[in-house]
Parts: sequence; structure tokens; C-alpha cells
Amino acid sequence: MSKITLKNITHIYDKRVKAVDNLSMEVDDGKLVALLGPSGCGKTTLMRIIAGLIYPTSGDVYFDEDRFTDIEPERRNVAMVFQFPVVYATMSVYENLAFPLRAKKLGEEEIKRKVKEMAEFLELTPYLEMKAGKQNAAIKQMTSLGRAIIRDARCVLLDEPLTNIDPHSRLILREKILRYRAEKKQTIVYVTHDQSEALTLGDKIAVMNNGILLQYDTSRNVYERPASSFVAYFIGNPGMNLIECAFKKVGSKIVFESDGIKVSLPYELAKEVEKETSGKVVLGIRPEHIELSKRKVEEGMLGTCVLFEDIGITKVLNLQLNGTKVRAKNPEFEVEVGEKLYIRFPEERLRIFNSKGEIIL
Amino acid sequence: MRRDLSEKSVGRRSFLKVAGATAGGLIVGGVAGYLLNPGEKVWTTVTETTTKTVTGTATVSPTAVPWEQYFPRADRIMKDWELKWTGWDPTEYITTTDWVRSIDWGKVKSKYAGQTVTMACEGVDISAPQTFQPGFQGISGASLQLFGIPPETLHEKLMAEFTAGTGRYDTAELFGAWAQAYFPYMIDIRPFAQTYGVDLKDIHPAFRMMNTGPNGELLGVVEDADLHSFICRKNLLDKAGLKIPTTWDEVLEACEVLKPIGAKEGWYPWITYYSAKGFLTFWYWGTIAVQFRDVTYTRLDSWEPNFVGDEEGGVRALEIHKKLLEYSPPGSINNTYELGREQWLAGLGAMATSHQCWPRQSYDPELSKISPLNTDNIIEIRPYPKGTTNHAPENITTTYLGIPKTSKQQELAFLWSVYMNSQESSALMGCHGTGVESGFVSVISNPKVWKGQPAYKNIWETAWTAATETFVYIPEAYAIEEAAGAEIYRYLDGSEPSAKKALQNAEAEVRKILDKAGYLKTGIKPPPWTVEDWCKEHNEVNPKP
Amino acid sequence: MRKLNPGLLMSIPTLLFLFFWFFFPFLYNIYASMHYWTLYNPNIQFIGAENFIDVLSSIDFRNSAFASFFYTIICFAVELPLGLGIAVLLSREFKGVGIARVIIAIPILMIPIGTSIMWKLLTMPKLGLLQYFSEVLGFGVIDFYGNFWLASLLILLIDAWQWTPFFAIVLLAALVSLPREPYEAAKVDGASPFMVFTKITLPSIQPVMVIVSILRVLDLLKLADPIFVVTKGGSGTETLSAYIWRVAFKPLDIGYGGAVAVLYWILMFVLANILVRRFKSVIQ
Repeated sequence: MSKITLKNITHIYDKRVKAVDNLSMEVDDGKLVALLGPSGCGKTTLMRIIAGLIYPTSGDVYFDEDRFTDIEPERRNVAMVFQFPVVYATMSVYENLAFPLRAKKLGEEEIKRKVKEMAEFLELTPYLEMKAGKQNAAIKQMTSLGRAIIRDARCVLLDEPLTNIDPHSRLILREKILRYRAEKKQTIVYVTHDQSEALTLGDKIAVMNNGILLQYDTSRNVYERPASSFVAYFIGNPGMNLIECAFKKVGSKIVFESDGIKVSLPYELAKEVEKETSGKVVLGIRPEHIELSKRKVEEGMLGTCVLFEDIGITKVLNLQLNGTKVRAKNPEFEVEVGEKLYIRFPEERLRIFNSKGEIIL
Repeated sequence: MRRDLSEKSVGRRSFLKVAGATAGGLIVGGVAGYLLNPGEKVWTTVTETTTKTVTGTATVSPTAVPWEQYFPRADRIMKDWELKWTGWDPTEYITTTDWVRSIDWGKVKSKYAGQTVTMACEGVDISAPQTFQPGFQGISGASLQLFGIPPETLHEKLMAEFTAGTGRYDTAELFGAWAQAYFPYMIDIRPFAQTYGVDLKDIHPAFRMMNTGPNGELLGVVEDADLHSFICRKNLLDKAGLKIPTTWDEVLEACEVLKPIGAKEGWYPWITYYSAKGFLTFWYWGTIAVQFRDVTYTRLDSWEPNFVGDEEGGVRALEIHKKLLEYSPPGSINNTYELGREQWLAGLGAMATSHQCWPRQSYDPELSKISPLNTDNIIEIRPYPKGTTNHAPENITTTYLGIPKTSKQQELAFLWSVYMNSQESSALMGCHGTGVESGFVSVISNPKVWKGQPAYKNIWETAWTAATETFVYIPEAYAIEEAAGAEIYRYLDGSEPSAKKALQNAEAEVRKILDKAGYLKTGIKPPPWTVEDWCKEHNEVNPKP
Repeated sequence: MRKLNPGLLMSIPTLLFLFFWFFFPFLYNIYASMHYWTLYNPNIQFIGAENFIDVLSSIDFRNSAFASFFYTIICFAVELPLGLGIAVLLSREFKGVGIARVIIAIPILMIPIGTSIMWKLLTMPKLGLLQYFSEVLGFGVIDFYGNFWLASLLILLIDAWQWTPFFAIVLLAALVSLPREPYEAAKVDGASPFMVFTKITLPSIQPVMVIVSILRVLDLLKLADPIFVVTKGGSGTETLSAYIWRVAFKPLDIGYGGAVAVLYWILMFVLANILVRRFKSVIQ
């Protein structure tokens, strides 16, 4: 079990497509890092670079203090589970699980014991003698996971392991991963585009977009203090409301205004925005933080409910404030479409991003 | 003897080029181009009609078509160097008599103009008959269709056509040694010969005996007549201080002396004409064995094969055969005619036995590395080395042009076979180095012809004592040769250590075939084996020099 | 009245064709094999199993059966691994791989007898290019035509030159159609290239390999062309096909030839069945 260090990794495909852009991060020994980002953001490329399947255009990979950039994947001792379940189709499930052990040239007795243990842990015992290629996706992925964690690798890379299997098996598999992690204290990089998976599993979350590591922090911080407007929008369900506003100083306050929106913050709190020369910033507020009221409140803005989505435990309101659309969540009262509501953005929940999308406040 | 396409006018060098390139298109195009051009040249540049050389044999009718116009002549066939070498007057014919001259072609033309005659040719290369095609078509007014059949399958193909009675070919090239198998399907050509005044007796008995039936019926006109000679490169023997060997013992002694010299200079003392398993083994051994008279596998009054020989002369011959292989290029044990010829013409050997074609082709600088014409090489042609007896070389077979009973154009087919194989034509073909050799007494005894084909002198002097190449000319000849050859071969490749045992095994195999085919029970007398015996039996004059 | 099965009706032309061109000649051949029957002899006699006894007691038949199996084994043993090796090489991406894949296919397109003649020209004593190099390198003239082992080597060379690409191309097609992922997984799993090859590549292309091998083995048992060209069947190199040709078609002895053909057919039939049965599960 090792610490993973990535230093200034850049990878360009075909001399044109920049998949990873000068990325540096560290994954501490025994931690689970969830790598989150939309499709095509470079997550998988990064994983393959760690595994050694791709040689980065520039930059280096370290395990603990040792540089591994030039080491062949087969000698890195890194385990990986792929998004599409990969099994050795012509072998039995048993042989699949035994494969990495055979590669390590372990004794037949030890292999047998380990495979048996692993099969029991993953509930694969009934399938052991069957051809791996003939199993369903869930069993395949379970086998694939077993193959990854059956040996003591430096780290385990899980590349969206739950994406392509049915919801029921997904739960079982997730549970197995969590149990494994709890028992072995293994360093794990877990790629996902499912933020709830990331937020619940990860010790730390790394958010990527366009090959750039946007934020690498605890899940709480990523949620509460997104490093950029992209992270802000990407994290959360639905993501943060982002409203482009003009601002001006009015007395001891700074007033942010957009069509239908008017928010003011104490100057001391928000004076950083004055560095923004374009005169415009982006206000951010999470839907769940928006205060709603049927009665008029101080500094409240008036909006109309245009859509009401009730998805089980979550209810999402789409509100129209003149020309601006805002989403709010979980009102404490019944709302009907067409109804007018008073809306307030609590000061402490407001985030401000500059025109480049970087967080100011 | 013609066994492959390389032998005829395609030539060895172009054959090598072609085979090396393995470009099918080039082969077809190149050969076709080569064949068409001289053909056109021959038949369009006829300028003078020289009647002065016609020596009174032809009775020309008023409506006669002048045969000279359509008839091959040296200057229309030969290359310049050949004419220079022989010193011939190009406007003259080299033979004095000819079948073609005795035929009234005017009558033929009025009878057969517009009709078609077909011929099955040995070899996909039909250049030899093609040479004569335009002339025949001109002189007879008929049209001729030629079908080339690969030599490897000609025998089976013809048998299949004949037994099925397809009547597809009006005339076909038949391989002499196995010709008896065709006998039931062929017509006797003598009546036609009589009608047209064609003197078949001019064919040397040696080349007539194997396709003659029990009652003297003749199966076909001889097309290619071959006889073995001993050949050597005298300059190599001279350098080693050797005189030309006349016996097999001397041959082996000479080989021993030449071996170290050849090893230094890149040649071998001997070239094995052919030896490959089967009938070729049988023949090669046979050509030596016949020099040991006591072998007498002619002692056929009882059909009993006697390959060992009364004084084990056959054993001695087989031992010589094996010894010769040691003095030949590696792998000669499986030599075929083609490979042996390549080796000889490439200058890989000092001595050999062969048909007439090898020595003649040695002269051609285009074909041969050892041509005496532009080096100090001397090719000597001698009678076969002697064994214990003073016997002739075997008569290594002939090719005939036979006419199947199913033919619908028998007479026209006969005329074509006569035209193509007339004395003048065959003399020219032999002197031109095509490998197609003349079997006419009037040709091989003609000193003028010897200038173009030096081997003819030796042939003429030895043919009267010749014997058939095959064990006995019956339809089973091939099966016998093949079976006996396979047994004899075992001594050569070492799987049977005793030469005598190998020959005895061969005798047993042959006896089995004869027994199965019923010869041992019938009491029919086997056909004679030597020319001398044959002439006696048929009351013919054996032409001697 | 029962209706005729349309499937059967449609098959009738094919069945007729099969009957006249395969089944009937086959039965006729068995009939012929029990007779003394040459094409030039009108007397056809029933002789029972005599031809078969003759064939089985013939040294040449046994030798040629041995030669057939010998060449089948050595040619197969060389061509399959070599073809596989070439296929693996060509399955990689490198500059010029497209051209290489085309070039490797050329020998298959050549006429077998032409290939043999080409090699014979290369190996003629003192005249062939290979012999020249052999002499230059001090090995002297090599007896490629008269020595069983060297002739066999040449026959092997000819056959391998022409037919290794067959393995290579079919296996290449199988290789390039394999999914990439298991290879990456195996690398990550720490497998050595050898282990990847034996545990993943080979099992994955095994069905194709088995089919192409069966085809090739049955084809090799019919080997004849290079034999005719190199040795004319001498020096112990005569195969069964060459033997049949020699004893059946030249002497026109269709009785004896028929008997050899029947025995040959039995051999092939048994062998083909064993092979197909043995590898049935793999193929499916």
C-alpha cells in the first residue's frame, strides 16, 4: 500500500487532444480518493497513466518516494478494475482470480486458499468452475474486482466499476468495496461520474474537467466551497445556481444586480469583487440553501414557480425571477405552479465567482 | 525425344528466365511472340522456286500446287550461325528424296479445301507442329487445329479419349515405348501410304519395330526418333591425359581421374541422363545392361524376365549405374531428363550418355555454355561404351503420329502426318537442334545432314544393332517399367543393399504383371527385341552402313 | 397425399450432383478396386481382395504412408508456430505493417508447382543461388535432391514458404479481432508477456487455430507437388498422393490404383473424424 504522487502530468493524444493538463496530486496511503468529472474529462486517462498503460507526454508518477513513470505496468503492482467488466473469457472464474497470483508465481496451495477466501468474500463460490466469459456483467465485474484485490497491490484503481451493472448488483459491489477498504486500508482511486458515490465513498474528492484538476479536497469542502463555478455546478443535485450579476458599491455594501435579482453584501465581506475589472461576477447559491417564504420577507425577491418536480425525497422548484431562472429545493410547504414566492439568499451561503469562474468569496 | 517444353525452340536460357520469373503472362506472351515471328518469316519470304534440287522423284500433275512454296527449307528454318556452321547452300534442299514431293497436292486441295483436321500434341508448347501449320494449310487448303497436352498427362488423356471413343483428335502424338497400349484404337496407315506413294520403308526398322503390329500393320508415322550415344568433352579428357573411353570400365577409370580435377574447376566427371524412381531408373539401367549381352532380357520365348543375367551382367550394370551417380552432381539419383540436360548444357559434366539432342544443343551458343563454336570446347559423340559384349546402344524410343479409328478425317490426318514428318522436315528439325530427330534412312545416312546434326553419323552406324528400350513392347510396357524401375531403384538409394536381390525383386514384380495380364498362359510369342531379330522375322532388310 | 417437403425438393439438384460426381465415382472406385482392370486390357476380372493384399504388402505403399505422415507432421510443426509468430508480429502496429501484411500473402497466390520449380531452380547443384551461397560459405554443394533428409528439408522449405502465410493470415485475422481490454488487464495484473501469450492470446484464438490446423493437416496429407518436382518420388520421399498417381494413372491400372485410393480414403476418413471429434468442443 503506497502513497501515489502525480507530478505535472500532461498527456496529449495524437499530438492534438490534451486529455490531462499539467496535473499534480497526491493520494495518501490508505485513503480513498474519488475522481469525479464529466465524461471525457481525462479521468480514465489519468488512471491508465497511474497503472502504466499510458506513458504520459510529460510529468511523473511516484509510488511512495519512488519514480515509476518508466516502469512497465506489469511491474508496478497496481490493481485496476475497468468500467466495462474485463474478464479472461476463456478461463474459469477460479482461474481469473488466480491469474494475478500465478503471475506472482505463488504456490498452488496458497493460490487455492486465497482464491477460496476471495470467492467467499465476493460470493463467487458457486461460479468458480464456470467459464468467466459466459457470466453476466455483474458476476464479471465481481470477478474483475476480485482479481484486482486478491493480491496486495500498491493501490487499487477503480474506473467507474459500478456504471455498467444493474442497480441491485451495484449495491452489493459497493458494499464489498467499502468492506474491503475498511479491512485492508488500501489506497484506492475511485473514478466515477456519480457525485453521490464520490461524496459518500471518498476521503477526498478530486474534480476534473478538460484534463485539469479543478479541486482536490474533502467532500465537505468540495460541496461547500467549490473552487470554481464549474465545480459548483457539477457537484450537487441539482447543482449550484449561478447568476451573472453586475455589482456596485452602495455605501457600506456591495450590491449585486441582475434581471430580477438584487442582493447586497457587506463591503468588508465582499470587497474582493472590486478586483474584477469587467464589472460582472457570478453569484452562486445551492438550491437547498435558498430560503423560501409565502409571505413578504426583508430583502426578499419575488419569483414565480414555473415548474415543480417531485422526485421522492427531493422536491425541486423552478422559479422565474423576471429574466432569471433559479432552482430551489425542498420547500417546507406546498407550492403550486404559478404561485408567487419570496426568495432570500442567505449571506453566509452565497458564493461569488469571477468572470473566469474562480471563486472570490 | 520430346518430353518438355524447354527442349524445343523455347530454349534453355529463356526457359530458365521464364521459370525464374514465374510470371505466367510473360511466358505466354514471350513464347507466343517468339513462335509467331519466325513462322511468319518462314512462310512469307519465299522468293525463288528452286526446281534444280528436285531430283526426279516427283510427278507433277498439271493442276499441281507447287510444293516448294509451302515446304520448309534450311534458309527458312535455320539461324544464321547454323547455316554458316553447316556451310549449306541456303537455297538448296538438304535431302534428295521426300514424301511431300510424291504427293499430288493439287488433288488433295480439291478434295480437302475448307475441311478441318485436329491433332493432339505432346506438351503445351505446340511450336514444332505450329512451324508446319501454315505450310500445310496452304498446300492442302484444309485447316489444322492443334491441341497441346502436358506431357505428364498425355498418356492418360489419350487413353481416356480413345477408350471413350470421343473422336476428338484426328491424329495424336504417341509415345513409342507405350504405344502398344494404343494399338486397338489406331488404324493401319499402310493403305494410305500406298495410295499416295509414300515409301514407309525409308523409316529405319529400328524406329518402326515398336509400332508395328503382329501382321506388319503400322501404327503411325515416326515423328521423333531417338538413339543413345556416348558424349564427352574431349578437351577436358585431353587435359587429364585421358583418351575417350570405349568400355564401361574405362568410363569408371576416367571418372576417377577426372573427379579431383572437376572438384577444383566446378564440374563433375559424369552427368546422369535420368535415373528417377520408376521407368527412368529401368531405362537407364537398361541402357547399360544391354551392353552385357548375357542379360538378354530378350530371352522372351517363355516371357521370363531375366534382369540378373546369365553371368550376372545385369548386376554389373546396376553397380555401374550406382557408381556413375557418385561421379555425377549431387542428387542425380533422382535426375529427370530435363535436369540432366540443364546440367550437361551448363557445363557441369565431362561425360554422359544421351539422345542426339544433347550433343546437338551443345553447339548452340544460345543454349549451351560449352558450345564448341565460341570456345575451345570439343564435343565428341561416340557409340555407347561396351560391356562384356560388343553391342549397340538401346534404341531409346520414338514418338509416332498415329490416327485413331474414331477419326473422321483419317486420310487428311495421314497427309498432315506425312507433311509434317517428311524427310526434309525431320532433317531440318534435327539439324536445328529442336530435339525432334529424324528416323529416316535417307536422312541419317546423309553426310550432308551430319554437318547439321553430328550425332546422326553415330546413329547411322549403330542403329542396325539397336534394341528396344523397353522390356517388351506390349500394352503393359509402362506398368512393367515402372514396377521394375521402382525395385531396381531400391539398390540405388540404398534401401536394398544387394543389386542382385533388387533385380530379382524386379523380375518377380514383372512376372506378376505378366501373369495377371495373361501372357504366361497364352503361348503367344513375345515380339522380337533387337532390330536384327525383327528384320529377320519380318523379312526386311536391315540397313547397314 | 402427403406434400413433398420443399426443402428436400430444393436439395434434389445438389443431391443429384453429389450423387453423380462424388457418391457414384466413389462406389465405382470401390467396385474397380476389386478387379484386375487396366484401361488397355478389355478383360476385366474379379479378383476380390487381391489388389488390397498387394497394396498392403507393398513396401512403396508403407513407405509413402510413412512419408505422408512424416511431411504432415514436420510441415505442420514448422508452419503453425512460424505462422503464429508472423501473425503476432504483424498484429502489432508499426510503420509499414499494411504492406507487410500484403507481402506475406503473396506466396499463397502462387501456383504450387511453380513455387516448387522456383525452389528447384534455387537449389540446382552449381547452378542455383542457394548452392552458390552454400559453396561460398564453405558447405559445398548440398544434395537437396538425392538425400532423404535434405530433400525433405527442401520439401519442407517449399511447403512452409507457400503455406506458412496461410496460418499467418488466418491467425492474424483472429488476433486483430481480439478485444484489447484483457491485455491491459493482464498487464496490470502483472502477467509477463509469455503468460499473456499462453494464457490469454492462445486460448482466445484456439478455435480458429484448430480449424485452420485441421484443414491444413488434411491438405498436407495430400502433399504431392513439391515431391514431383524435387525428387520425382525418389529417395523415400514419395507420399501417398504421389504413389497413387504413379501406380494408377501412368500404368492405367485403375484396379490397383482404386485399391490404394480406397485405403487412402479410409485413412483420411478415420483421421479427419478423430480430429474433428477431438476438437469439436473447441470449434463450437
